[in-house]
Amino acid sequence: MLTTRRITLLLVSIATGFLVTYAYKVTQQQEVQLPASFEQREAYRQELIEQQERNKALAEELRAVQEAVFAYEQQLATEAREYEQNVDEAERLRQLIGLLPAEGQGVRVTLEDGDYDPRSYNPNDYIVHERHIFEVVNELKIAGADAVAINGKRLKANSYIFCNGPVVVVDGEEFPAPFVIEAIGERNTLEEAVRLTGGVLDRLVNDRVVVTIEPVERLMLGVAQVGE
Amino acid sequence: MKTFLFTVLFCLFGFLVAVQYNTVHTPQEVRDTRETWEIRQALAEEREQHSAYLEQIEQQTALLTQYKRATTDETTQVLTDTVTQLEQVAGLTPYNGPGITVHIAPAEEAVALGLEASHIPVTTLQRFVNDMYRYGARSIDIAGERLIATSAIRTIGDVTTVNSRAIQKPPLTIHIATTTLEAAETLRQRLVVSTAVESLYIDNLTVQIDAPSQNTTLAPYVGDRN
Repeated sequence: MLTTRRITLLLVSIATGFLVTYAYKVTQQQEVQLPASFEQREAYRQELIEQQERNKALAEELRAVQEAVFAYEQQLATEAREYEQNVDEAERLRQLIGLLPAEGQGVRVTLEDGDYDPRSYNPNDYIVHERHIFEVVNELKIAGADAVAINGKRLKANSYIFCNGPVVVVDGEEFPAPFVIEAIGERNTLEEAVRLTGGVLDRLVNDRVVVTIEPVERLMLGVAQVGE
Repeated sequence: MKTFLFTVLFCLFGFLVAVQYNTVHTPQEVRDTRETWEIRQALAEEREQHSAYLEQIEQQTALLTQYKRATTDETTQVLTDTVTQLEQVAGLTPYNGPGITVHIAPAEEAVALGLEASHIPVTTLQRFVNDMYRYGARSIDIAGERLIATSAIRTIGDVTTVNSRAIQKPPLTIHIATTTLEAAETLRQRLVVSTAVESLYIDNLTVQIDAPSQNTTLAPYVGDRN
């Protein structure tokens, strides 16, 4: 009787010991795996930050060179009359392309997602979509806007907009709601264009988008991103 | 006493086995690598931006040196060159280079049914233009109307206009400029499967995209900008 009990105890002890060791090993293995991927991600992140810093420095360098060019051109323009026309033309073209910051009166249109509606099962019914932004930008262009920016990102001739789930992508950069569309131009004309009965504003409101339109006396739009 | 001891021991044993089984057989969490992937993508974009900056800086520095070295006569020339180069970027001059040509025509079925050809719906055209830019188009000319930064596509009555001028009803041709021939091929392939092309079919129009050509010509923008 005593032997049976001892044997049982022995077996149980062996099993317990085995289990404890096994469990320890499994846990240890997992611990080793985790930091590897974590470190890799950190390395990429670090690299990204460095690259962003380099780009920022380069952007500043580019600005400095461009400013030197503009300054030189302006100086030329004052020196001789024959240069003036060309210099003015160059400046106007740079404004158009977005190489120079644009400044002037304009209008600011803010699009926000509608309030959560418990009666609606589909959030698509009350969030801002690309087509809403699209319509506003297009309407502003029709009304003669000289420069347009979305959430501070200046639009170029070949800019594109698309909806990517909850965010809207403008030229590869993602923006969440609310969307602030700023346009430079004759502010009353621009405002009228958006407010026109049966026009953009009505359609937006109909889609339960919260819209704010404000004419601004002085707007500043930055330069467009270089590259394609 | 004996039974009690056995009960306790086997309970403990059973519990341990259950815990162990659970640890080993719970599938290891699928690691979310999306974040790493996203970081890498952002990194790739930043690098592209990096080379774009370098190119621009080089160009502008060269221009500045040119200005400073130039004699009075040459200065006029450099200025004119600058303006011409800017006009090119803005789309005020004709373009000839790599790109693709897209033909939009009424669908044969619609013609057979006797449906009268109508203008391209403005939303379809806008969507198509947006998709083209998204897939790498550098500049676009729709039936001879070049799109520039301030161009708008709109409808007046039932006529579709670009740059405030009516464009012809299909069949019409769209020329698209790209940076390289490879970019043109990528654009072509992406356009073929884009939703914008599908929506043209819904409007009873067919789309034919030519093979990329090194000799794609775009008309210059005409009209006053202000």
